[in-house]
Amino acid sequence: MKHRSSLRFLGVVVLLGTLLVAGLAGCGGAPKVDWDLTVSGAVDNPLTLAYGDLAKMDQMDLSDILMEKSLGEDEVGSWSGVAVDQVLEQAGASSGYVSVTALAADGYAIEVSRDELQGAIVALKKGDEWITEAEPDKGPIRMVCPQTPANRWVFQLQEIQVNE
Amino acid sequence: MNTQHATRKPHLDDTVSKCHFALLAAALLFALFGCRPAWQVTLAGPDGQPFVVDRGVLEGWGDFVEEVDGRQLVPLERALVAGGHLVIDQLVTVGPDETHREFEWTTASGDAWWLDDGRLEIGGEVFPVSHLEVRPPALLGQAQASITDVAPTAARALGLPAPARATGRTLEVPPARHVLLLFLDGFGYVRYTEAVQEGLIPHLAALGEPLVGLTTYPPVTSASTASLLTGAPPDVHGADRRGIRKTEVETLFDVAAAAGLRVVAVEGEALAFNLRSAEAQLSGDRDGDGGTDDNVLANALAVLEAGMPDLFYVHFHGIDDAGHTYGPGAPEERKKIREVDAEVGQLIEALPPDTLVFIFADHGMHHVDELGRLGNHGHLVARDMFVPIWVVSR
Repeated sequence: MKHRSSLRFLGVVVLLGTLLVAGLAGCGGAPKVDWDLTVSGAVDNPLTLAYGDLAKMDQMDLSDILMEKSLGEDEVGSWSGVAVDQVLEQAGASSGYVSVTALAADGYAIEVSRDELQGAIVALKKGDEWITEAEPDKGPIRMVCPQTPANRWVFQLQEIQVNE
Repeated sequence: MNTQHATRKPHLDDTVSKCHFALLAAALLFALFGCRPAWQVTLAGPDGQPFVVDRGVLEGWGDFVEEVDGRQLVPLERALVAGGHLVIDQLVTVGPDETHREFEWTTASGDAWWLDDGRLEIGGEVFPVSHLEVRPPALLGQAQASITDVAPTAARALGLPAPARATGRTLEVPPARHVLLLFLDGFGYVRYTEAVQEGLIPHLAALGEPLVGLTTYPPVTSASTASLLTGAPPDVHGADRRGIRKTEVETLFDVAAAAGLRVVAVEGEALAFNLRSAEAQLSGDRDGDGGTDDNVLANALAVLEAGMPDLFYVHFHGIDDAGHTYGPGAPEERKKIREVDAEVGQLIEALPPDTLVFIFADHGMHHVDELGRLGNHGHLVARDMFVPIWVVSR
């Protein structure tokens, strides 16, 4: 009888522990998302970075950035993610690259010049929320190019092609 | 007696239950409809047949609501399109008390909504209506083609079947070894007629009179591109509002690629719409001159130099960009029209023989005075909806 009570107590402790770990992970860790970002074109090491890889890289914050929309009201917001420069460096982008073409999962693509990429990030978070949770149709990752119009802020970002 | 008593009591209970049920049903009906009285408005269709709008019909347009001052409203144009109207000059509203109001659609269209209590809100004025009539522009009587005619016609020229869901007409054209689709973003038919008179487009004018064409609603690049490539209207291809960037419906490019033809698309800095089945090439402003048309031309000429594809798609954006920023007719916009005309001339000059050329716009542009822009499009007005369509053999 005593043995059975101990087992029951142990079960409750294990269950509570599991819930606590899951809760903590949900509060602070990146969500599990099946998404890859490919870096190709004029690079030495073509890359495929999973969402989890991006979440583990150094994160950079962009605060109070103006999003200049072609439709609707402009927005000011804060974003955080991985610096595009860091991604390009990891892929060994050509030192003389002039632009990148950012491609989205729905087929949208845009060429963004090197100048326009200054300070750009591959954003995982908008404000304090993961984009994949805050704006599922705009995620899970989005290129954010400060001080360029929002048509360069490619959502559902899937590939970055480096152009020489 | 007991038996009789026993049989009467359930009758009484039944009656009470029925009363409760009736009261409940009445309360339910009141809750559902009591605060939202039924309404019905008749819209005269282009053929004179009435199209009835009521609460249920309005709720069916839930996907098209737009936020206006914190309210979710249905644009009135959605009803006019559903009623069969292609382009509007004036809207006449008739109230329950026979009050008539007339609205010039060019000025009213941007702020015209259907409220869920059945009233209209136009230009900030809210009023009840029982009947609507539309007066189209005279140019509608001269309309000869639709942007949905391009895909089936180009397919025929190349000896291909039309895209699966195409509803556009197949125009009479000769067979051709190559087809060029030359896309002049934002260059509507009304602006074309003005540009001819102003002497801005000698190269285009030399091609002869274009067909008077109509684009589909809404007249925005993504929806019109889908209509162009599928040969079908937005309710078929699904790109029926701004922001939808792809279609699942078969396109001309799909048909050509499936037949083993080479399809190449030269775009500006961005792909405004998913051009699957084509080798797409972007043309960013790499020389930093503030526009991409020169880059588009350079890339298109490079493609021709390497060998004309079976199906070639070239998209110039400059007229649209200048129209938005400076407004139709502004000196900067006129300069851009001249430049694009010269670029069209250069491109046509470089084409190989046996090429059928379609030159067209996706939509036009009308004057606005909004924050940051002096031109816009997206409404059922002549300047937005009429587009020129040239079909020329080289």
